[in-house]
Amino acid sequence: MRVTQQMMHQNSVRHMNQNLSRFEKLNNQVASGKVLSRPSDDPNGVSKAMNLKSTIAANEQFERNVDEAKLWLDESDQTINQVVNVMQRARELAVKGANDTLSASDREAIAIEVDQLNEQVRQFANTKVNDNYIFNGTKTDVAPFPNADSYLTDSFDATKKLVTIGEGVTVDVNVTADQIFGKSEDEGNLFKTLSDLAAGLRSGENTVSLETIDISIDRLLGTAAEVGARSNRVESIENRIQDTMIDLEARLSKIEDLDYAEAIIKLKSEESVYQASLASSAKIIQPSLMDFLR
Amino acid sequence: MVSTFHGLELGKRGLAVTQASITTTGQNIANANTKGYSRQQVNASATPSLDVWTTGGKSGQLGTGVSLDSITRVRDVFLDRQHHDQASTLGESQVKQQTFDRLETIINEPSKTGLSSSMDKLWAAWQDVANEPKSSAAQTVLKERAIEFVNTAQAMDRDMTYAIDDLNLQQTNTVRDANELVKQIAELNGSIKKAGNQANDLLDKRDLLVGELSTLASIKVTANADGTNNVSLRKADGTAGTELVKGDVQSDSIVDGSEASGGKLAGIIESKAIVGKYQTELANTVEQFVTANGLAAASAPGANLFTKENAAFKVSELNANLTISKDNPAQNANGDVSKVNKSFQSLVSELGAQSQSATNSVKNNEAALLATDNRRMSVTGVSLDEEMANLIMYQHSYSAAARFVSTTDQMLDVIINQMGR
Repeated sequence: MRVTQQMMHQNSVRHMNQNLSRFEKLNNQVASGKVLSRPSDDPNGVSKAMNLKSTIAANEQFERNVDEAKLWLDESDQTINQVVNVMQRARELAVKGANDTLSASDREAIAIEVDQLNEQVRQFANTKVNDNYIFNGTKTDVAPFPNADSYLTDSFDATKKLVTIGEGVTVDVNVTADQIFGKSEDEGNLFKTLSDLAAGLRSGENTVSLETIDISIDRLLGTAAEVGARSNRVESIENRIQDTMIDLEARLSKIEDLDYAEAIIKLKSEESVYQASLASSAKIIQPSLMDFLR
Repeated sequence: MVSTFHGLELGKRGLAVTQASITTTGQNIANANTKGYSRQQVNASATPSLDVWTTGGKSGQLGTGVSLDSITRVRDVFLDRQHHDQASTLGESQVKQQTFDRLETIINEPSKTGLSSSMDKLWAAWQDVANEPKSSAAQTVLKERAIEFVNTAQAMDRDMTYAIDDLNLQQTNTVRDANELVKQIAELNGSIKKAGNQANDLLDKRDLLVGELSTLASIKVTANADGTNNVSLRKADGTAGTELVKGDVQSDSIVDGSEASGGKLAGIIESKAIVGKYQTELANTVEQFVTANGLAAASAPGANLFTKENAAFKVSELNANLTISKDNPAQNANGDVSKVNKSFQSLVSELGAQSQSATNSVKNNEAALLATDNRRMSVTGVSLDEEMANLIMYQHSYSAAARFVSTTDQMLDVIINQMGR
């Protein structure tokens, strides 16, 4: 084949260009640390990476939701335990008040304490977390028992508050007021029991039996156990989310992150290829017969 | 009997032809880097000889020197044709590749700020709203996320519209360029016809323009006996379409480029369809997504997160419902968002795959074109080494011919001045 100067020139330029563009691409990858910068780098990989990123974003949100759920459940658990303490004190007072040797003023003193306990229970029932009333179903901006006699009308909302803590997994994070305090007509409604107790003490007729108080304490303990069980479930899901996150991050990194050792070796080799093409072009383009005809 | 001055005439002819050869070599060297130039060569042949009587009673043949037959360019029309075909394929794929490149930039994936991540963020905002339905902060964040989604989608949609606008402009300009080339080719054909078909430099110029035209549209070229040629657009099945140049007459011109089957023009028209397709797909994805999140007419937004101005969905007429607040909490339409995510992902990977194959096709066509170009340059290109060697050779021929003239001169001096003294 007859070779002409223009041909050699054009070929050298093209090869130098190709080498430089490969060099530049690798350089970009090393600088950004990412293998994928646009869909055409690896169409399938990009779609997988996008899917993984969405899943990771979803899991991050699930982690936040789990935190929210734990907060509610922990707060409910603590409040219930405190209410149990109150009721146990009320039981002690009921036993004490049943003693016939007490004078009217002694019974009045006990009744006042029972009134205080009643008020305390109402405050617990109006517990807030993050400015939300936790025992009023989904009406979290309204107090479930605004007044001392609110319980008579069952003023609370008993809807379940559901939190999504995984793909298609929800947990109800609230216990409704009737599970703790009982409905107005239930035997052992806390408010009714306590106010009846106080009234009985004042009138001297024991209208509240210890069984009624025990029924209310049993209800509290049962609910506390349920909250504990739900707490355990949320915790196990939290562990699973954290494990999944580690796995997802690793898979994403595998798809889109650069293997530096490999990339730098490639970069070095591209660099020397480029320099070789420069050197050979310099050698080829320069001399012609003219340099030797003097 | 041979004329006394036969030798002088013979020497003169030799000088003239070597001089022409040296000049042609000079022309080749001067145009070694001229675009479209094909090297020229001097075709010389021995002039008819004289019959002279020899002793045997038979006539012998005495040489009378050399004559210049023609100066022709070295060119292979088949390589030209091949070059035209590959140039139009490359022109077409280059435009498509640039378009995909632009689309990839517009889609902006994978990234932390693209449409996909703004869909994820909106989903997360719904979760926070579900956790705290009465929180005004959660509602505000949700509204802001909706605005961000609308902005991202609209920026993408707008950029695609701009891309189509640019392609339209490019189309107008390319049609104008192509028609200008057609006009010049016809004019050059006219000059060639007048100058005769040895008009090497005019032929080179015309072939260069034909080559340029072939990058804009796929063409079919047929040569005429008088050196001119006919140029037609070529249809996709290879048959001739509109005839643009017939000899020295421009018979037709390109209207809008849609009649071209290859070349830059075809690439532009295909690119417009490609961008249009992705714009529609993007609009579908966006519509599905906002419908899944709650979409209503702008006149009655209600508690929907998004509103549209007209019944027919348009990305440019999409808005986030700004009345969303604690007192007008957004209502989740609870559509299947993950399905929309998937459909956007498949859009991105389809774009990636198409862009990748467009890039590969450009690379392949470039390599093919370069190989043909190399073969063509191997035939028509000027080799400086060759020209230098020729120059030396012709220089020596010239000296020798001159020497022959002075020898004849000395011979005649003997006859005229010294004989018979």
